[in-house]
Amino acid sequence: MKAGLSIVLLCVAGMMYPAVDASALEVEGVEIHGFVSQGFIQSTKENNFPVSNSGKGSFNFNDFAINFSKELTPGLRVGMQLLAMDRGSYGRDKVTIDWAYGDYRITDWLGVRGGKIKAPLGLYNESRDNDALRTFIFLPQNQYYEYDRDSFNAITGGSIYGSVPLGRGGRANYQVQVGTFPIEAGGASAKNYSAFISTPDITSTVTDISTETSVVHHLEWRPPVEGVRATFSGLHTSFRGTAVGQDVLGNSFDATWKFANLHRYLFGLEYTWGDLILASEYQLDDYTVSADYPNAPTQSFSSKQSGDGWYVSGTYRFTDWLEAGAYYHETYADRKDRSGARLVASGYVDNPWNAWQKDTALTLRFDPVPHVVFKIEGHLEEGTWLIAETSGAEKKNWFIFATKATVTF
Amino acid sequence: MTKCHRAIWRTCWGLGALGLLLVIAPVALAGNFEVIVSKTVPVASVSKADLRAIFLGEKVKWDNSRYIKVVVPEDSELFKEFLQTVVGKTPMQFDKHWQNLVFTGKAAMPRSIADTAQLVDFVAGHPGTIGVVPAGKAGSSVKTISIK
Repeated sequence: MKAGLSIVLLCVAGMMYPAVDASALEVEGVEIHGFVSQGFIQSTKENNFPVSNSGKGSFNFNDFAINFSKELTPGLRVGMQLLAMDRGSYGRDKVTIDWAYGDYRITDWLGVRGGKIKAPLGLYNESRDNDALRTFIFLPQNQYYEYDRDSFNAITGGSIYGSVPLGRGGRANYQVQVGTFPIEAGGASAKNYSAFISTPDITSTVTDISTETSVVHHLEWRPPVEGVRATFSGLHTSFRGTAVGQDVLGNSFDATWKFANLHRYLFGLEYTWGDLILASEYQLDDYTVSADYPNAPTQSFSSKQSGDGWYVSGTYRFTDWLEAGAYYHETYADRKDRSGARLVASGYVDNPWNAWQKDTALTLRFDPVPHVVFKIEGHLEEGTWLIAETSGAEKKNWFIFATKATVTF
Repeated sequence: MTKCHRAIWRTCWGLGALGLLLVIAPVALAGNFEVIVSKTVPVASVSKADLRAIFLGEKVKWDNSRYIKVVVPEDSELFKEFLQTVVGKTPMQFDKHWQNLVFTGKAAMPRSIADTAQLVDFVAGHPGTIGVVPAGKAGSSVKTISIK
């Protein structure tokens, strides 16, 4: 039913194309833009990722958005974007506020924003919702994790930002954000946290989440070398909540849990030479995850985590209508235990390959007419670290095949 | 001179000529367009770096504190040359850059005008506006600024 609705919306948006222009939809000074994106995904039967039912082949794979913005006075803007997405067990096409904020640009080097603001983590996080703005269907998952989209995609609070000329040193753009990340207990991130706090004896489900005051910072440096940009981003937060655990006999236990002192750093480098774009990013995460099961016959635990991951990607546009891209990506549960041996010995994972994931992706993107994009993408995967939902990730070597059509206006 | 020496000599000349071509090519392309601004804009020239920052939405104010508005020619080969020479992007990369800003709430798309005369009139009638036209098409209603 939902897939049918998505296809109808996609067709309607496609028919609108000849009547609209990228800058043409404006009502009473309010600019309106949006996109409709519907895909199909098939993965190896046992490994359902990044869509929770992809093993059977799934159309529960879409993103819709519409945004409204208005310049109230020169330098003062206000706007919001509504977003709905479906990834099987999460999203479910529920409409959410993706971003909504007021923005006053005081001068080149200083502006202020307040509201719900996209978090500038890495080269591409701010624009990751819109499939048409990139070559790949799935960006490398260590940096752009699908199960983080309802948490670290946008911060609610305030920010300062600006652009500073550096003379012979090029130009620097910066953003600093302070606020909280409202994370829903039934969302994708919560499913990921549930997997983290589950033990071999008890499967847990997160029931409530609250985040402490968080900070995001982002620096983009464009040196005088043509086509180069380098980024350094950071996220600093802690969050906690409650959960319900269940043992194999069906007995339920209340639990509390915490992700403390999460520090995430991302280093990015992009080089554009004509139609060729090369990019690479490295990310490292440090945090302590703990769970307390006061009345359960299992031990409470506290574990320091030190994950990391990196990728290299290349895209090339051959013609106005054809672009190809590829990337190789590795991610590790513990950068001090790349083989996974220590995590197996501690009982945290069953197999070494549960503690890492290596992904080779190849994409073709077609732009048959302006505003319409079709993509086809294949992934060869080794390891299962990123598969957040604990059920059934049984294959070490597996694949993802995805295709997606997007209309933007 | 041996055959080997001649081959090395020819290769050096070839690479030198290619390097010279790469250096002068952007200058030659820059001669095909002019950057125009409304007469209220208090500058006679702008650096390539600042021009790039303006067309990427990073530099938003002139020295007199007036906000900058960007207007672009629609689907023109000339604008393609301007983008490649000054901004360092293809038209599609330029569009994606601005769509990135639009879909994160940071900016509106620059106004796009197909007809050169209309573009000049728009710049003339809107204080703080900057645009690109073919060389010699600016007229007297706007100010042409040089690229430093």
